[in-house]
Amino acid sequence: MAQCVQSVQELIPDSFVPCVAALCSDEAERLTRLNHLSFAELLKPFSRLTSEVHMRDPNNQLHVIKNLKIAVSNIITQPPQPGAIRKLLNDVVSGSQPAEGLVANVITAGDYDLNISATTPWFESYRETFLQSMPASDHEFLNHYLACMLVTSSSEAEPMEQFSKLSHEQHRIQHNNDYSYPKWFIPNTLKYYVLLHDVSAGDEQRAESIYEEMKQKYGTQGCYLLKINSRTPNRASDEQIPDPWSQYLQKNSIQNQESYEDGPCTITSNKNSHSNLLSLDGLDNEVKVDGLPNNFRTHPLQLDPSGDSSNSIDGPDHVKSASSLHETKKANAGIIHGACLTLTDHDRIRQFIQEFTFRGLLPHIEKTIRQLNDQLISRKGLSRSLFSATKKWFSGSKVPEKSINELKNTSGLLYPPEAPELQIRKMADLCFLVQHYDLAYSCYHTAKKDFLNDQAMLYAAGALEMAAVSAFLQPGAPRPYPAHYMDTAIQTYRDICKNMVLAERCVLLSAEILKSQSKYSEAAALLIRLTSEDSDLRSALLLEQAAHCFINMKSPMVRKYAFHMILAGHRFSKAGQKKHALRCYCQAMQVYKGKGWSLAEDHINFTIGRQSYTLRQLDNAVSAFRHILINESKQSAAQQGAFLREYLYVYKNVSQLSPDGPLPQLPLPYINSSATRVFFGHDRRPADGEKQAATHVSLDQEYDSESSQQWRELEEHVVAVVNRGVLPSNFHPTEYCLNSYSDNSRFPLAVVEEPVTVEVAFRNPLKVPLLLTDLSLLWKFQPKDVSGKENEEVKELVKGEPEMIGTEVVSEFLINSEESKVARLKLFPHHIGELHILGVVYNLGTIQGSMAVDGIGALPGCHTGKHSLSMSVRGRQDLEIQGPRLNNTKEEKTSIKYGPDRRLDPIITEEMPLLESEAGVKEFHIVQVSSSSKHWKLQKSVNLSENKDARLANREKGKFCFKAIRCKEEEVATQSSEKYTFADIIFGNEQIISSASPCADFFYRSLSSELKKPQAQSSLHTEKQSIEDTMRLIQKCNEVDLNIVVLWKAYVVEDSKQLILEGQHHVVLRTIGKEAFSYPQKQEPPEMELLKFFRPENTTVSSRPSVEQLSNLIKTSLHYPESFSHPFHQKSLCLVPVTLLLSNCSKADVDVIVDLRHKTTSPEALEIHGSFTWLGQTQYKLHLKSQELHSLQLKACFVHTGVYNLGTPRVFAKLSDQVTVFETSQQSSMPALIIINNV
Amino acid sequence: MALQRWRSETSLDGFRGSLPVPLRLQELECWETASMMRPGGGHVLGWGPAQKNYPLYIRSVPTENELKFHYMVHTSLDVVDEKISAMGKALVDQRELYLGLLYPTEDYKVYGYVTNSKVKFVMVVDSSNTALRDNEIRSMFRKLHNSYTDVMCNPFYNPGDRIQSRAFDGMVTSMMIPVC
Repeated sequence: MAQCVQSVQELIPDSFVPCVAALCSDEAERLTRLNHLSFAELLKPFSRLTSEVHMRDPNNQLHVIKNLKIAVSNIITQPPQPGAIRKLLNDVVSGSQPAEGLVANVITAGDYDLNISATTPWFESYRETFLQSMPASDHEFLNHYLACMLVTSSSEAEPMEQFSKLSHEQHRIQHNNDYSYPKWFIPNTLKYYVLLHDVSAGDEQRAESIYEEMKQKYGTQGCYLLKINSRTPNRASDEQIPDPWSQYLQKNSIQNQESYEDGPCTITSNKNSHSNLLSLDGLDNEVKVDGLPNNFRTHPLQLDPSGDSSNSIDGPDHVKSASSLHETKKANAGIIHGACLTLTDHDRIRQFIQEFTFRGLLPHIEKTIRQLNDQLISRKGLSRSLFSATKKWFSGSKVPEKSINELKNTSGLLYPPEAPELQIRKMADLCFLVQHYDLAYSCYHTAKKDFLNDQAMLYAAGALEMAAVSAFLQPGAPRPYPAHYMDTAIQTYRDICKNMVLAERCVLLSAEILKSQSKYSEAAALLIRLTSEDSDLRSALLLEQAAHCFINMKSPMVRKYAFHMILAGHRFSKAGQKKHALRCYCQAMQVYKGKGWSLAEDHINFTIGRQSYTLRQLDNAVSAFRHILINESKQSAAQQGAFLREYLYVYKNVSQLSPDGPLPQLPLPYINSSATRVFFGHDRRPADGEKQAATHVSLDQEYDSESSQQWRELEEHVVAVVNRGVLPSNFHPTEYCLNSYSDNSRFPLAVVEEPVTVEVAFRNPLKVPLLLTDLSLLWKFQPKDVSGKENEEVKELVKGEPEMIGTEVVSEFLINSEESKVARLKLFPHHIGELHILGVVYNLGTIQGSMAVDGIGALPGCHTGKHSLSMSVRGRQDLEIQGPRLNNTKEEKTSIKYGPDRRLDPIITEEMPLLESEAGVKEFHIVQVSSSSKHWKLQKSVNLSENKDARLANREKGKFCFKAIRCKEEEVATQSSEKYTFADIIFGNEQIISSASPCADFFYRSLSSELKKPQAQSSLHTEKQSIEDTMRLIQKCNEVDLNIVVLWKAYVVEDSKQLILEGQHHVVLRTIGKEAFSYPQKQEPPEMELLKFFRPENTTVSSRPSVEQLSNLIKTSLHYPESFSHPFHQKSLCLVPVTLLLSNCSKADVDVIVDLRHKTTSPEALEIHGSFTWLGQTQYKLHLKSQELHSLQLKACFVHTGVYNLGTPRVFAKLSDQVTVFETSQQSSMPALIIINNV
Repeated sequence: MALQRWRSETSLDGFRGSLPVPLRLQELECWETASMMRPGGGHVLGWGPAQKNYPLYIRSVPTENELKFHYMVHTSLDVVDEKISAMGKALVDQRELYLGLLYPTEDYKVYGYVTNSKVKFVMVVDSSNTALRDNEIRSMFRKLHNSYTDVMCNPFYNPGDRIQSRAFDGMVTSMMIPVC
């Protein structure tokens, strides 16, 4: 429980005070009304005695009463309506808000630092009002009238007559059966006769004489002359007299039911009533006329987007009632209470109360107690009380209490008003009222036993409750607080008597007592137990107090605190206490924030957003909703869609409030600002004849550091040539495309009238699509005078005059759920100066397609009507790019500093020449392919897809296949070894003699550059000569040394004229199996070799030919029909003839072994269907002479249809003159597939 | 800075992808939430930022009322703290890791378990499920603990990160299904 202003020792006596009725004549009432007060109200501020009072108890012991307070109220013959009480309580709570700027306490619990207001004044006001507005009940007498003041004015014609009339009236009210209310303590109520005298108007002589008459008739102790109204209200404004009534009158409307019926004039005036009124506009009017809080049966932990907000949009009736409320409040505020009273009058009233209490009330109470005591003793006899005393003494204070369940059925027992059992309760109550707690306790204790014996449960519960309280309040605390009494009482009240009001009083008292004893967990349990569905306001307040209990424990339970705050917030919201609800959620948020409890966090944020919105705290609402959206929400797509719509709706309201305000920063979609790229100049559109900048970059390609380095070098060359070989010191290479890899430390240059394209990388973190409309760049421009002198005053134009900078607007840009997408936005500078691209501006919305999942709903107006179309919010997002981390100086190295990134701040310069490229090649025609070699020549084209025209369009690839054969030996012999054989394969119309000029010239020129490369040194070791020879022999068989010359024609468009250019390329094929290119390819970095930790045993191994080289000794190829059809139903075996061609590529004799047996190791071979059989000889031994071709006829046998790989024969080869050295398996040929069909 | 933010966000994508999917639950009468917390004491494991008691892993079946269980588990941490602090320093070393029933609510029972490194396991079980007695709960916690140890042994797991281990996921799933 939160800290309270009053201690519990003050609270309880103030909650139970002697009640005095007031019955006034009309004239007397008129006199007090001059002060805008009723008689009871007039006395209210003075109802506490300033001095101690003494009285004697039945044993004639002197008893001191401190701080005694009495309650005077007008007689109302109707019990207070529960609805009225509820309304009053609601008003009291909503009127009491935490003061703004109040410094909250910081509670540190574990890792949590929480800002929590330690006091909860709304709870205290609630409790006070609640206790005061308790209707009087038959089972207890604490708030029954003990006395009645009969008030008449001295200005009456017949005051004495009036007194007897009033006296008669009082008698009638009390004893006539017409009125069951109010309740009276004892039959012969004390009557106290008060004569009011208006000093400023009345005749003092007459008043005195009437008073004399009264004294004679009623005795000096039973009457009083009270002089008031010493001044007229007109003069009142001259001097300021403190108004002691203001703090009381707000709360007392329940005693004064007429004022309730007048209208809600008793709402407390808030300290800052203006802000309060603002919030009242149509929003706080959840309070129903009957005062019943809306009883939604929703779970507190559910997200209820469709919940109560429907009431919150200004309806006409709400506005009306709000304004009438407003007026009433205004009227109320103007009233000055006690305008006719001087300070002397205040003293007189104080004196009157004192006199009444000393001379009238207390003697009456004293007398009554004595009488009751005597009655009890006489009836029950001394022995009984002695007996019970001794019994109590010996058996301890534990009286066996029967279990509640047994007693349930008799709870309806009622005693007649004068029943002897009630007399002891009366005495106990009287003692309690005059703070004689010892006596009260023993009486309550006795009464409790009596009631339990009679099984009168309501009475018993009342006695238990008060016994517990008086035990606690006993001076010197002779016995511990009997909490179990309270528990039994609460249980009885709640479960058996179904009286929640009494149960609540019990809980409030008990919790406060437990709190004072630091038994927080017991108090919390008690408070939580009383939360129920029947009153949201009560549940909310009790849950909040329970939460405070958890945080005040010795080891604070932060999470329990937070959880109960959320529950309280939910209840507050259901009870229409929006502000309190918001406050609860905000306080709970402190605990859940940033701890990874994202579902809970989202829920709280959503509720905060909702509540803030209904309270018109739009900024808070926006930030709460924003929080939900940006934090990688784990909610479902439907939920996210609802969040987004709600956010947009709230945002729209914000922006409508301040249409001229700065554009709001939108949280969505995310922008990966470092991925922003800026491109200067026109798009590259190859082939449409437009002038193109000589550059390699475009936004469509990835950054390639190598090519950009090449271009940089190229540019440097050009600049150096222009400047006669010297690179100017201020030279910087031109950058067309700025990205995170480029050097962005300088302001880039952009040319006027050339577009600037900015590519922004968006990412949608949500599971719902986002639609951006009217997307454009936001910029600032400082124009520069054409004269070159900068303007004195720098104009800042944000989205300003279109003639300076043209802005391209993308009308729609859709980002699907969880998608990353780039948008290219253009600016067209029309003026020179400094441009700063600040960010993007767009309307954020969502597409309506997601409405299908709209079970959860959203704020009203979202779904239907024109709102749904315009559900988008205009806002901006800034592009802020952080530069690279600096790492040059020592200071930079030791601290974290980042350089500037200026890619978005181009300087617009005057028109500049643009180096254009003539890359308008439309297509290439391959005219002819020629070969040139010492040993080989191209024989024919074996292109499968007869590419007759041999054309290559833009970015097209073509594929040509050629067959080459060896030149005839005799040709080789006749020509010297340095001679080249040329062969031409023609694609065009006419043959170009490649062996003649100019083709051959180009060829030899390129050849000479090739020949410059160092040749491999031949070894000179003679002892290894033979091995070297065979090595060379083996290597030779892979070498081809074929040069291919490609002759082409290029059709080029230049200045809208068509040109035909001719040229040729050379490709040098050196060895078989290696790729060759017309220009050197980029070298791939060599693969890292594993470190070897052993020494190679034999260094001569290196002179052996590699396995790869050896495997090329023999070339094999299989010749067979591609598909073969066979009637399997006629003949189950299918025989296919296959020819195996073996050719010896080397110039030496080779022994060859062909093995047809399948390898059995591979698992596929085991499959029956996948295998076939070779028929006939399984192994052939052959001898192939130099460059001999040999063909072997084989037969394959199949039993099933299917596709088979015939490439199973294994071929081993060795040079004949070498013994066994180089025997190796020949290269495994390509798979040779054959299809066997059934006919 | 901006770059880092971006990266950390994208790295979360992987987690979202592995969120629990609804399991075969039509005939499911019991459901439960297993969840693990970062240590609250902060002295045993010195990892990461000052954030404490945030969930390492949380899973509930069925998923529709997940929020409620998140609140429940979060609130139960107070009881875990209370139980640990009630044991006193001397007893901490030889204490039983299983904390027993933390508190019963109307419909559920909440059980707790704390490792020596103050990682908390909380399990919420339908109180109508009588098949789960103390012993079963205890052995389930032990299984959970073993699996968590395996996760910690993974050199690529950064202590304090959300647990995304498939093995751990599978173990939790297997624990949640057969109970029904």
